[in-house]
Amino acid sequence: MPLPDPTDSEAYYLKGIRERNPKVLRQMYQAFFPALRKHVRANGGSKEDAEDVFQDTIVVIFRKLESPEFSLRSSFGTYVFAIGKRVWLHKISRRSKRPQTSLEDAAILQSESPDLQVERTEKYRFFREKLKQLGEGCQHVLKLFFAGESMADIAKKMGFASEGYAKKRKFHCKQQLTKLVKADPRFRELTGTTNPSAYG
Amino acid sequence: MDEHRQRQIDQYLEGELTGKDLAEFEQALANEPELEKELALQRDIEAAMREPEIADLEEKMANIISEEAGTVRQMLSPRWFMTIAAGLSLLVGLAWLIGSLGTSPHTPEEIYQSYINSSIDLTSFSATRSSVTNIRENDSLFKALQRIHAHYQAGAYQSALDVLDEHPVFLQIYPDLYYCYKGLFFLQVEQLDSASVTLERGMQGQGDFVESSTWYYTLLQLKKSGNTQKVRDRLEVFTSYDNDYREASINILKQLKTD
Repeated sequence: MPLPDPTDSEAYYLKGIRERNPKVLRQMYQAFFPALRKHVRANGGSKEDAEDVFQDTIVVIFRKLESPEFSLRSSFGTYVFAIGKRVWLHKISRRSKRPQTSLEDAAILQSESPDLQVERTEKYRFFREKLKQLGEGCQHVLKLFFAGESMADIAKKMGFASEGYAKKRKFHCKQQLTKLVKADPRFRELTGTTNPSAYG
Repeated sequence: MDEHRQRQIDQYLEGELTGKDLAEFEQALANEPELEKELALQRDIEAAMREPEIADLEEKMANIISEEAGTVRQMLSPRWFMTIAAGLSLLVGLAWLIGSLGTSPHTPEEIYQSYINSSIDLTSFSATRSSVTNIRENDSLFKALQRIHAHYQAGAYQSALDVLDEHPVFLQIYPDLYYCYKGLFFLQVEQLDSASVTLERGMQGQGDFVESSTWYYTLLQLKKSGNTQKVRDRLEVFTSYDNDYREASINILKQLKTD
């Protein structure tokens, strides 16, 4: 799997993230994960922590790419590492209340704190993980609902007797999902964050 | 949070609360922090579920990480190490056998050749050393190491040298491995002066390969200087503690004594 020409690599990687191209995502993992893992492990994290950090880093970059103001002011590798360090600091700061971004990293990150994006990325990934723990029926109902399907269509697709029953089932499934979320110890950790508007 | 409030939240998020019910709910929101928090949670859960592109990206990343980590784990599996250990045991056994037989080589040159030309399996040779364990975690570097091993096993020593030099990170991060490998490759292509200088450098540092550099340097001195006291002293050092070259040193010393 050859790596791109270095002169085109920034555009290549950014396009790969935008398109969620598995080949490019794998190349990024191979090129940038080792350095990030080394950093995470050198700062008290495990290999699994490093994997979560890398995954969240790519998602944070994906979110940033949605902004029309996005511009890359360093090499892509430097940028990934700076975001990754930030993601890891965000995780450990929940435990130790440590200060976060260095001045150098702030410049790379365009003086914009990615904290809210990091927080959202972690939290939303957690919620999606909990969805996968529901029964298949509930997962399907909620996926259809969140995809914007009407209750009438959900009832039809799921073979429910009525739209009213579909609505009742959807409410019940949301309740189950909420219970799963609240029962997980990570919920406390994720919501005891720096965001003052956070629940919990 | 009672079910009535939960239903109100659900209806509120779907825009189904109107008129008096909506006013009452908004009033409750202002007065009940718990209700406000619950609404925030439900909003976040909904927002998380309405990100299909990010869910897709996460799933792809999770698969890649799992597959890549699986590859490394497979390489580090007990079965893999058992294979290496078995190969290593076989090599040690063969070396012992060579040393024990009456037909074993006796001249310093023959002894040198028997240890340099015997099929040194670099993969087995390096498998349990911590620097190689670390390299395994860096996919591209590990692939380079595998290419080096493959060239070496094929007898393409110059190619092995080239790949080693194409990756200066070996010298930067694993100098003990770099000097040991390079010294061994120089020995194989008969560049003895270069081998000597390189192995000497390898002997001065720290790391798992320092002992191997010292071993090959000792063999080189045997070839260059012959059966001298200095060479025998060097070999004696290997017999004095538990190491990979202890048995071989004992055998060589036996042969040198009958020389």
